[in-house]
Amino acid sequence: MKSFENTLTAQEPIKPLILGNPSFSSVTETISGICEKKETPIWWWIALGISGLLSLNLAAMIGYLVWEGTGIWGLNIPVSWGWAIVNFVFWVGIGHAGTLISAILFLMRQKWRTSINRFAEAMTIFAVLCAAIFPGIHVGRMWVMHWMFPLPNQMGLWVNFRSPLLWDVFAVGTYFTCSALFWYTGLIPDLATFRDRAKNRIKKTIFGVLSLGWRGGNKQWKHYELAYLLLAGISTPLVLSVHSVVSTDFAVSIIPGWHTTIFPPYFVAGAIFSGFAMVLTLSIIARAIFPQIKNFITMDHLGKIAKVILLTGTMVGYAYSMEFFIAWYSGNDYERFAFINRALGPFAWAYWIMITCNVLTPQIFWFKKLRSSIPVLFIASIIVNIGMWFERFVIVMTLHRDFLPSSWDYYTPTMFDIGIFVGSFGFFFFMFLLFLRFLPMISMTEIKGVLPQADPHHGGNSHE
Amino acid sequence: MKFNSESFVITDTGKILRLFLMVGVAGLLLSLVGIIFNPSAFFHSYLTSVIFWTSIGLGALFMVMLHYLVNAVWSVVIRRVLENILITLPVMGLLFIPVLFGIPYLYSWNDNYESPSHSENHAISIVSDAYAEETVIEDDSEHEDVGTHTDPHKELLEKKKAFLNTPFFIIRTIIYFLIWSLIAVRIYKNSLKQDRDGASDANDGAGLRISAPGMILFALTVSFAGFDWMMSLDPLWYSTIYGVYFFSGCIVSVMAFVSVFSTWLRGKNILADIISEEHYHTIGKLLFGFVIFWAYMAFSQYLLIWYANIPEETIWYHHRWVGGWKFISVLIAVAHFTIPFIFLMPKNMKRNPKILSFWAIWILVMHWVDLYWNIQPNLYPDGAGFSWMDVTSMIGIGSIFLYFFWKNLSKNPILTLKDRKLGKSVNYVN
Repeated sequence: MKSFENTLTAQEPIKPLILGNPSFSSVTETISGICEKKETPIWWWIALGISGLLSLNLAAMIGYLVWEGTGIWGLNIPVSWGWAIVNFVFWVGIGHAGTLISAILFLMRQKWRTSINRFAEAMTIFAVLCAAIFPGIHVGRMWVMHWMFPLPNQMGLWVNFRSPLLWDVFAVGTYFTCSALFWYTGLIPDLATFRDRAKNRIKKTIFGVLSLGWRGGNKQWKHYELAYLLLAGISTPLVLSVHSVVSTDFAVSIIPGWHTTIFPPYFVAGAIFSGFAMVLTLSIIARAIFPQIKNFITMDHLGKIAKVILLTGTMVGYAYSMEFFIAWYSGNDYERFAFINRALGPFAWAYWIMITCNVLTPQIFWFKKLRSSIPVLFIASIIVNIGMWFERFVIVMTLHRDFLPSSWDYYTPTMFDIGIFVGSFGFFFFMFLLFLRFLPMISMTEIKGVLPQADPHHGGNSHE
Repeated sequence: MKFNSESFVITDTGKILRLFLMVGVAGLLLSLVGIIFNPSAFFHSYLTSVIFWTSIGLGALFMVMLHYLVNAVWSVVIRRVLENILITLPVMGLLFIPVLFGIPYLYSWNDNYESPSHSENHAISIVSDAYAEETVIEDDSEHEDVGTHTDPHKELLEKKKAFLNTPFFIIRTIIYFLIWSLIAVRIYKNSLKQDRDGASDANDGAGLRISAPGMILFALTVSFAGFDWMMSLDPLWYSTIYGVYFFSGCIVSVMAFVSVFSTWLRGKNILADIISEEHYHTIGKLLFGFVIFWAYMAFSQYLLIWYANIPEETIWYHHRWVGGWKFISVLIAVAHFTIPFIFLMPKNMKRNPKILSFWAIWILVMHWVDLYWNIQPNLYPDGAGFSWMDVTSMIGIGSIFLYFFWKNLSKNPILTLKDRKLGKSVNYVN
């Protein structure tokens, strides 16, 4: 091993990831304490109440939808795909940041991920659940929902394997399964900690079953690490594949404005963009409700998330401009019209909201000062999510002026469109708040691994 | 060639440099002979070769900018090598000049287009295939005014005139190289400044300040370079992902080049204890990752075009499914993706420099095949063809590239000795 003058040595820390120099036990105390405490912050109750009511509203509206049919939405011909697909793509997109943080950043040895990966993965799972509502209900006849799956039946009816909508079923199904497994595998050591700390029999039994007999022995850790690495490897292509498949819902068609080859990577960039914005929103909310985690999710973490938002936002901007340029370059009148209509037609307002929120807003993160201001971060993260919802809206609304001018129409959402979408937010936050209260929102084991005292070279005991 | 292990400078490179210069000039002169016999073939070969070597420089430019932006540690040990690759970009700009003279032989959007094949106008024939059936039907039904409809392609080209015209093409190419050279020179100078004055916050900050806007300019210029130089060879065809596809090839090729070059240095016992197995492992992982990234781009383009099955788009693949091109198309899918994907997966393939270099050379060859497959179907519409000028221009431009690469490399330490992260980088563990 060589050493050079004037340079950092291998042991010299750059910056601590976790502030406050906590000990191993204080990490456990702080994070478990949130779930073990008897009294719950009042804000948690208020938030849970509101989101619970919204979820109930969602259930009621879905009930009415099943009763009455999809006519209660603002659908028409030519806009035969409305908010349901917009919401589906929106929610699936949100999930991507969780998988990117847990899998890709793990493979890239980005240790700062340890503070946010647990709840980002939880976010993924809840977001995919929200997404799964929409394909289920948009078919109208919910009682034949199982027809989406290739189930053998007496009539010899099969799903169309050539349809990207079926690919969606597989892509999202795989995605949900892998994300849930990955999340759960990561949770096991922490669940065992909860089991060991449980004061009553019921808790001990529940956490005992959930932790699958984890003892923390050497062999168990070895298997655990391998399983974690493998799951990270398996989840990595999923970050790219799921939203690529979702993009094919549009891109394999021959509709101008939808059929364009950049869609797969463009959708993936957009998904990560919106997902990171949601991670930012949630971390700021979690920090506000539980101030004790501020040393784990530091300003440095939020700043890094902001940088990812800047990067992916700019990538999305690149995709918008490429689409526009190639539409002109193609010389195809329909292609050109689709884009001019987006920017100047009846839905121009939505297009410009999209550009402002997705391309212009993230540019504020060039400045360190704005990256380290909580209010700015919070507002920007929400603006980005609004923008990303509008991106999907703009894409779907391409339908409103089809090849036959006499059938051109406008899409006006009804209270059911809005109610179901808002309800899905209620459901998402309802689940998320429950998660914050009952499961460790930050991975205790992984945090301990990035503390300076976990390094075998810590304290000058170098083995070189 | 000698290596000073104290100052990390390679000296006595006169022999190598002379060799590269001689081979380079000879290669280029030989190719120039070909211009007399078959100018079209010359320009197509030359374009393929010059894009190949430029793409390595572009990849290096990207990697160094990325290095600054993400504050990377591991790549400090190869930063100087990468910087010496990217500083060849201004030279590549000069080597690109012949292409500008070849516009009439290469680009059918040009008014003075000289078709390489015997058919009257290849530009039109390319797309006419797609409409052939339609035309036959029209002939049968005794349409009198068929003549007025026969040139929808020229009409389309007319619509693109504002972009696809010779002066603007030349201006754009100059702009691309000016931007790349500007970023490259500034990055290089900043790095040498670090060697002289030592590392400082100002120096690191300068690297960051060049790279951040540089990255945005890079993304746009590389995409448009891909559109101009390669996509516009078939002026009626278009694909929004093409710029990213071209970019992915650049990254793949530079990672491959760096693995081969550092393994070669290792053989000469240069930096052998600095660029360790751990670094090869990381280079290998990036190579593996970007091979997948390339395949993702190539497949996205293919799947969407195949599925939608619109003639004006499928025609591009159709031309790559004629005669010998069919074999090349399959070869690219198998050898540019499947085989390296399988073999680069195991850890020991990446940690052994020699094995990694084998796959790196494999990938470099496939990168050339990819460019050839993108560029040359215009020249050989009836099936894959090959010209001796493909070899001479590759060797000629490659040697000139290596000449300047070596020349700069031997002027300064081969390692960024004053970088604050150097110690950390040398001891980097995966």
